[in-house]
Amino acid sequence: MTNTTSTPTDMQVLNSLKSVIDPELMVNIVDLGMIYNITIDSSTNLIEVEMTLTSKGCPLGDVIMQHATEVLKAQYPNYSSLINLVWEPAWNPSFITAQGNKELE
Amino acid sequence: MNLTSTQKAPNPSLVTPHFIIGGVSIVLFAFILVLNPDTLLLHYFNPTLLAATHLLVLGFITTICFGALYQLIPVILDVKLHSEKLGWISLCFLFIGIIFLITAFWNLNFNIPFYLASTFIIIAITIFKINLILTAQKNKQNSLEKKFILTAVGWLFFTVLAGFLFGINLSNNYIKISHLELLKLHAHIGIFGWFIQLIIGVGSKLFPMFLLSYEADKKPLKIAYLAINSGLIIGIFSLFYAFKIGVITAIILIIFGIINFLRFIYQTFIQRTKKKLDVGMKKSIIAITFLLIPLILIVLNILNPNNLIKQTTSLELIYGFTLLVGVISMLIMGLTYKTLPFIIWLKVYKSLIGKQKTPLPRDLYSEKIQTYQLLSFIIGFWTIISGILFSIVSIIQIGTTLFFIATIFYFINIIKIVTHKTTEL
Repeated sequence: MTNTTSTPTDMQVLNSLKSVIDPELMVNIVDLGMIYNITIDSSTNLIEVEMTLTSKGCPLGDVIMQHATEVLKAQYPNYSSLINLVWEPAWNPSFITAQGNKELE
Repeated sequence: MNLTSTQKAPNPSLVTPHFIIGGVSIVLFAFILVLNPDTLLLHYFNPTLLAATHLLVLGFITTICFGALYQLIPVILDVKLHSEKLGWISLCFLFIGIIFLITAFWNLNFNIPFYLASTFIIIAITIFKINLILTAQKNKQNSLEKKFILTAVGWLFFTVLAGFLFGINLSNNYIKISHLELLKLHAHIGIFGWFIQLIIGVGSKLFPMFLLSYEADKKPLKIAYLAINSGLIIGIFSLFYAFKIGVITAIILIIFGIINFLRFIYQTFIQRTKKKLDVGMKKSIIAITFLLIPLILIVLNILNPNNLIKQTTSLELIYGFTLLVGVISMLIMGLTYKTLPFIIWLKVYKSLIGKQKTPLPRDLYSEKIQTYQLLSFIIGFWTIISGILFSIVSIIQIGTTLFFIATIFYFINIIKIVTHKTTEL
């Protein structure tokens, strides 16, 4: 269980987001390389996540983002979260981690 | 913040009736073949086969394509459908039109039922086309996918109108071309202008997306677009003016276009990041490879050294059956599992995502039933082809029974998906 009183680290947030699975690809969004940046502001208690989707028309994009928001809300109840969907740089398969590639095989 | 496709998705209540009507139509089509296996050994211009074929191409293929396009437009063009109400009106006209048309063909009556059917179907397609054009206008990019889809719908309108005029010609002979030639023209515009181009337009977006393969060069698709459409235009004029070299040129252009599409799919497939394919994708890939069979048959038919091919009727039936059942129907059955479960899943679970453990879209249907469906379909398909080739009714009977079982499996899964209710894991 995450410590809810101290400031979470980028790595902790990233690990939390590993529980968000792309329902079509069955791989988590971190290993798919969809998370571009995490900013944690302890003065405003805000976790800001910059992420993308594997395809601009991804029909599940909204659901994936909603799932990520719910995970952060549950893990860090003292923090509010903001998911920013970005398209630059455009996602490509080279962003997938070794673990992600293994799971796709 | 950018809007995602999920927010642009239509209400599932517009999409699902298309899949249910489509599912019922393919089951009925297979049932007609089970009851009349010998119809596949007769000349293709017979009432049973005409009724069954139109049930397949309009009731199953076109109806599902309409429903799937309503769902896929936000994915492909990144815009919201112009009007769901128009979608509903179009479906109502199409459904009534199909019932009249099947009745007309079954009784070989080209009078009132045929006129009514044609009017309803033309209205349905006109509404669909207007809706799609108004939707596509919201997307300012002139993408290749958009071109393929809009051109395909244009050909659909043209072939339905042509079918209507040819039908009138059967009772009031005013076109001085053999009705069999006109039927071939009508069928080929429908198959290559509408279905194949729609498959290319939708497939060029969906295959890379599902296979995580974005490196394939899109130039073959541009060539395919130009070759298929110029081939169709040359083909129509050449047939009307009985210009044989023109017809052969048209065939070569269309084959060249399809080969370029296959090149694109092959590149996408070998460069894919997602190596493991689910049954739906396997089905779709097998269907695409089946495209080679009719292409080979066309080439053999053109070359036909020393009149080697004597069983022209059987080969024409194999050609048509492979295109409509082996390629297009199988592909639609495969892609059903990549579209329908998602829209239902979103409707049922969207509010619960992240709050509780939910099933995945693939949990909405039975993977086992899908595998049985694939096996019975492929064995049934090849058995029917063998039966037609060797003119043995009992073999066709076994094949059509297996094919019928495959359609039942498919329909069971459709019903499982659309009637899915919230389940907690």
